[in-house]
Amino acid sequence: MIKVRALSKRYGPTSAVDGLSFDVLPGRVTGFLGPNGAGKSTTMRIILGLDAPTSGSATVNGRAYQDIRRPAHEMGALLDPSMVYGGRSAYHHLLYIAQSNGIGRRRVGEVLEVAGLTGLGRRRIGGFSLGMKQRLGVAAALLGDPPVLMFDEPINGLDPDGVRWIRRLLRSLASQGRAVFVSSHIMSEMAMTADHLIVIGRGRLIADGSIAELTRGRAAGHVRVQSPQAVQLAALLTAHHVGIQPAADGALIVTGMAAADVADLAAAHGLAVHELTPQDASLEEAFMELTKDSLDYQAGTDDVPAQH
Amino acid sequence: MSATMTPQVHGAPAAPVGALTRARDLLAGEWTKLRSARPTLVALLGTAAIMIIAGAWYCYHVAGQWAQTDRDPVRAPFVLALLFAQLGVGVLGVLAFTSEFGSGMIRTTFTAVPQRRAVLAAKATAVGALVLAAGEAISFITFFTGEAFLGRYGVTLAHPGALRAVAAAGFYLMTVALLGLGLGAICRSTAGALVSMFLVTFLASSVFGPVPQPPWSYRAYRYLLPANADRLISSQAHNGQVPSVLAALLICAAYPAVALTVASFLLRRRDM
Repeated sequence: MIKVRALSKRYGPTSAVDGLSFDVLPGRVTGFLGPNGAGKSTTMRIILGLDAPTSGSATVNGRAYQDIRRPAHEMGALLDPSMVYGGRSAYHHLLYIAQSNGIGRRRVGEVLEVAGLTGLGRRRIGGFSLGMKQRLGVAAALLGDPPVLMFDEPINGLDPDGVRWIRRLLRSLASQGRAVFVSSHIMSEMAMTADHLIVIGRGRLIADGSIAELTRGRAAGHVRVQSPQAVQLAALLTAHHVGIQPAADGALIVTGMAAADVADLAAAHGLAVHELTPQDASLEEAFMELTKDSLDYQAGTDDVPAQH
Repeated sequence: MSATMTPQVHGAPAAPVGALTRARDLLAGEWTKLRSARPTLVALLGTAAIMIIAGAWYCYHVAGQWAQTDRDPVRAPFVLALLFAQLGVGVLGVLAFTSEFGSGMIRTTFTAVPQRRAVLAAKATAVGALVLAAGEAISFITFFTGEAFLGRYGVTLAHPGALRAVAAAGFYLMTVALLGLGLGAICRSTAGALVSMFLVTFLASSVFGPVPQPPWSYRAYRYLLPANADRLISSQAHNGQVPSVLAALLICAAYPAVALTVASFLLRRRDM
């Protein structure tokens, strides 16, 4: 597991990380969420001993990372896909990490296969796409079969197939009892893979809890309903004290009632329903609400001025 | 945390690793990186070509005006050859570190082996051993081709100081490669390290020079790398050189030793 305690990192007058404390526990995927520039990567570099904290501590399985010999057996990490020498082959890149951690050559072939890079081992990394480099980074993290894994924005540059692959991989690593720590600035991505979320903004902890805990009591979800009898349905829903807003295409945006209940109600009154979409934006909204005070810069208006 | 939550299936137990096993692992890793980077081979082949050709050309040149030279048949194959060859191995040493800083590979390296000084030691051993082995081989070839071009002034390895000069030429190439490695770790950029390298191996000696104009300049010259390299490859001491071969050897070795010591200090403190 990873333990971070009162961690701070200052660059001159600016604080990248400010008094951060959290745990990453085994057996679940812990999402590390925050807007760009929130201090996620800095925190991860400090956990790996690449950067020294100004104060506070970070430990992996009870020890500072710099004190671990053969760390590939303790924690696998993917920081960013540029951590490679382009002139070297994927095989030799992985072989270096394996050899320096006392891991046999056979394992290199195994992780190449797990990462979907079978047959590409002899190719120069410089010719790899961003997605392939991400896969190589994941392969490197898995070399020592470690109980703790840490990935910084692993879906960057992956195609849809790769995104599905990484989601399944993260889930399966956690189900094997490993502690999996994944950063992202995309809330919906975390909603799909993480069990637990650590949300930071401007280097400070904003929230630490399960997804259910974080969304409870915050911006509620809503349901999009299309019906040829929209007027009747709207009247019916209003009678049930449910919030209704018309969408531009004639659909109804229903808040305060679950999709299944909307469908049951319509069926009970013989109303046809053509579309029923639960809008799972609740987590996204919760995230926006959580981090709105911590954004360094806010997006302006959504309207793009037309050219005259 | 309860014991049942700790994963038991994966990872090797954190068994203590013996110092020797550990050194072997790190060395094997650094060797893999060195041999799988194209600049290594290019720099070695370039060094071999330029050293052998420069040695032969210089010998051919002095054989035609033997009486006007220092008439040292042991020094002749190496004096110009080393001046050029040191650039090749210097680049090799510099790139062994700066290519990692430039590409971001350094973060992979320090993630795989967070003990940074152990990485530096393993890198220095790998680079040092490779350049020493290659350097000795190249030096022998340079000696034999050079002596052949000296014609009737040519000597064999049995000539006093000849074997020592050949061995020392290879050793000198190693010291320059290690100096490059240290400067690479200190500067982190290829350009910066190469400029410092050029200052130490070339420019310093042209500023102070062997001509004993002011006495302090003459004294300074004796401690410069090229002057001591020159002593190592000469059969006897010439103008401006330290009298003892052993002293020259130690001065040459001091350059990479200082650079690597500073590098090890800086590597420990810097954020990567």
